[in-house]
Amino acid sequence: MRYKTVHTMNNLLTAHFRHLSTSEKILRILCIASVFIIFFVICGIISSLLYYSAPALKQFGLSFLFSRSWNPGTIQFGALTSIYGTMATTLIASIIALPISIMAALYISEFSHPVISRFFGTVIEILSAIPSVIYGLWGLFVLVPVMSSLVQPLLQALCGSLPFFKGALNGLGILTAGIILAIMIIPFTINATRQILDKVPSEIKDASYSLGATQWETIHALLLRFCSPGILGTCLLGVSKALGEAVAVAFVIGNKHIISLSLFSSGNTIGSTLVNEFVEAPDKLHRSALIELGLVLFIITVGVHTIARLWLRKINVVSGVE
Amino acid sequence: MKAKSLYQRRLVNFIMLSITAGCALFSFLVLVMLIIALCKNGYPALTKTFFTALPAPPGVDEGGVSNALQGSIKMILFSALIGVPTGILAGLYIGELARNTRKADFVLNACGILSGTPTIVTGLFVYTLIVIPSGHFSGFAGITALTLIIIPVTARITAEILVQSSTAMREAAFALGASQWNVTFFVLLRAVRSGLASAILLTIARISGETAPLLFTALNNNYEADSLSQPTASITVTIFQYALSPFAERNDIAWGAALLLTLFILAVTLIARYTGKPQYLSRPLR
Amino acid sequence: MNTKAFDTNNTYIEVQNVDFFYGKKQVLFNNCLTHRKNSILALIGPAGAGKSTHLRLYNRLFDLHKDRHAQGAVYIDGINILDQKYDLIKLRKNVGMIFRQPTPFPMSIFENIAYGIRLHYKLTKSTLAERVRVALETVLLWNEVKDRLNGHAYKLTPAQQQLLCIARSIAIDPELILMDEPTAEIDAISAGKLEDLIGTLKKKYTIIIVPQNLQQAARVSDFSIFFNDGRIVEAVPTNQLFTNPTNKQTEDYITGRSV
Ligand SMILES: Nc1ncnc2c1ncn2[C@@H]1O[C@H](COP(=O)(O)OP(=O)(O)O)[C@@H](O)[C@H]1O
Ligand SMILES: [Mg+2]
Repeated sequence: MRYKTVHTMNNLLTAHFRHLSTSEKILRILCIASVFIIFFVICGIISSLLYYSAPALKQFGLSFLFSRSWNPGTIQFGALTSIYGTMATTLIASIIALPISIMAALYISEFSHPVISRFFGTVIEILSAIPSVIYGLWGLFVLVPVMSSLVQPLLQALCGSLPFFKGALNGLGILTAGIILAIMIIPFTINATRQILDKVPSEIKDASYSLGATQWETIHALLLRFCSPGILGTCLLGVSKALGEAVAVAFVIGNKHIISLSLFSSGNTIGSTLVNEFVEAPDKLHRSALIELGLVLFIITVGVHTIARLWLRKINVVSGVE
Repeated sequence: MKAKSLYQRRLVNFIMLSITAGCALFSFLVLVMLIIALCKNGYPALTKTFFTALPAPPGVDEGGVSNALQGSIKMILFSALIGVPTGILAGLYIGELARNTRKADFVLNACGILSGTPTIVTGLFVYTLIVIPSGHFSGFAGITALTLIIIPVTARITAEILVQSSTAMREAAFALGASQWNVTFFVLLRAVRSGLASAILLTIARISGETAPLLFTALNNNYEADSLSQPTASITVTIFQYALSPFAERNDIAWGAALLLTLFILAVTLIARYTGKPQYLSRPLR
Repeated sequence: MNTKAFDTNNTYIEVQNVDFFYGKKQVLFNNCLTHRKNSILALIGPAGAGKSTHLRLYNRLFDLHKDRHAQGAVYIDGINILDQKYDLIKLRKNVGMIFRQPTPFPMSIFENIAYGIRLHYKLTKSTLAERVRVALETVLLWNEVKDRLNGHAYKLTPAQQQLLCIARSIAIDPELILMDEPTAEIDAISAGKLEDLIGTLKKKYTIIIVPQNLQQAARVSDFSIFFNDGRIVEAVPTNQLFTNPTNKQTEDYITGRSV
């Protein structure tokens, strides 16, 4: 009886096989075509960005990266202010977001009651799906007033002698942009860190607890040691996300081409400059300079992202986290 | 030999528990504040005109975003229709046809690079690819940009799911003499369909929030676009431009649109979560 | 049928009417037993009978999961450890546990053993090293690893890893050691050596073991508890279990018939 069913199934499948050898070819061709699209896009991005930034490249050469003048009127373009702003906001975001997200992930994965853990987990997952434009909107209408009326005066009162906290208290600027970026990447890094933490075999944790360790002792002496390479990788991924963000920052950074030590000063990032100027850029050289900015952003972000990705892959093999 | 004080160990544990709980609570409160702000500012804006009217001139009260709604739906729908199957096919190549070969590794790395590419750069690329040659912004360009964002993400997820899926099942199917086509569509994809569906929903949720790439490609339109070859309004670009507008009515509409978008994304995310992985509270002992 | 085991004068462990729940699902029913010091108790029975679950009562490892709970009483040295007020750190320092899968931590051999010691004691470097050495000597691993104490524990063979885990447990001076199929993942020859070691450990420690199979139970244990479906069916000295089981279910299991 059983033999029979297998037998007929076999027949059926062989019939299919004969019948479908062309469709199999089609499947292959379709798959390879899709793969081809992926390569087309990568090559396309690199070559078209290079091609359209050629005028600016020719005009300014390497000094583009080091010049801080950006003036469409006099047709002078330098990327330094934007690069500085990108780095500064990302740095602020990382300093705020990474410790908070690692701690929160530890709480959710290790300390909390399973019901709370699931609740927080779901909430954080939802948070990470909210698009950046909404964080930006919220930042502009909710965070900026709080910054100007509360945070900035407070910081100035506490450590106003430092050069970092000087200038107008209008709520906009590098610091606000960094905070918005931080709030934006927190859910992402919490999720990613939890994934790393969840990979630790529960037997290992049980072994630690059965030796009489407290939760924190297990986390500190065992989990962090086990997971720190992975957490480093996820932090880098979070950084690359912050680097590439454009819209949320454009809402709150003030959009001025200046470099100032003060975190209250307006500034810009590569992304925000593109968002603000690209559509209206009438001049060819201006557009070309903007596209070159895009190229710089591509190189920086993809660089960090690739390092993070390769690192995560490497340690998965070595440390046996998988 | 000195025993450590239990009290001290407990205390440290409690302090760390409090600190980490504080961090988790902070992240949670941010969401609550965000949602409250969205509801408070956005809900009043969701009137009938909001959904049915075209944008009004600045300073006029009777405006809506019907064109942006339509534009967003069209662009998201079409890009998903093109991008998802293409991405799945590329994922099939990595996870099945070229499984465990260097070619698959190579393609996977390419997808990795693309998913690390800021979407604003993808937007720039499509601008140079379509907007410059055709001379104008268009819905097609917007669709292309979104599609190019979907493909690598879907490909990576598909490949990941396929690689994790049981090899025994594939081998059993091949042992019966099934063709690649058969195994792929009737065994593999069927076995992973719920995981795949949830991943695709998440991808769609993600692209529906994209702003910068649409700004460079579809731009905006104060009217309903007759065809996709014209500039096309979208919800996200509308939020961006209206929020920065000096007119209060426009700011209100931005909040309304933001609430709408968030509700949509939350709904899709929740559906994805509950169609996807089954949830176990704890693993059985061995 | 639930029997109270071997009435002895020097009772070390006494389990009274313990029920255990995973969420709402009850998997242990009215477990009762007693056990004396410095002897080895084997928990036997078919897969899924609740042996591992029962074993985890003694160090309250189930407490890590808030959805699990136990009712009843487990007395160790006269103190009910299921009492919510009982100190878990103290309990677990007193009750070591060896798992089926060797669970070395991702650090050096030395650090693995020092990990447990450092949790509970403040020691100088030399006393710490001394304790590590004594622990490794007790499990007969010292000679094999003394030249590579700083080598990574993952480089050891599974059998050596399991010995390392035993050394890690005994380094913090437990009185009771729990073992959940400790030889299941290691080769037969090393498993034999490990069984011998367990036999010698009994001089200093009380041991409760879930053996890998009946033969192992016969070789290492003094007393046996036969589990089926979460109930204790029979409790006898191991030598009697094989010669004249009094219970039909036990007999069927031992002779290989389905229970
Ligand atoms: N984490 C868990 N959640 C729910 N049920 C479980 C869990 N772990 C084990 N069980 C159930 O408890 C019973 C006893 O399991 P276990 O103690 O592992 O048995 P044994 O070790 O004798 O094979 C089994 O029916 C098993 O399905
Ligand atoms: Mg078991």
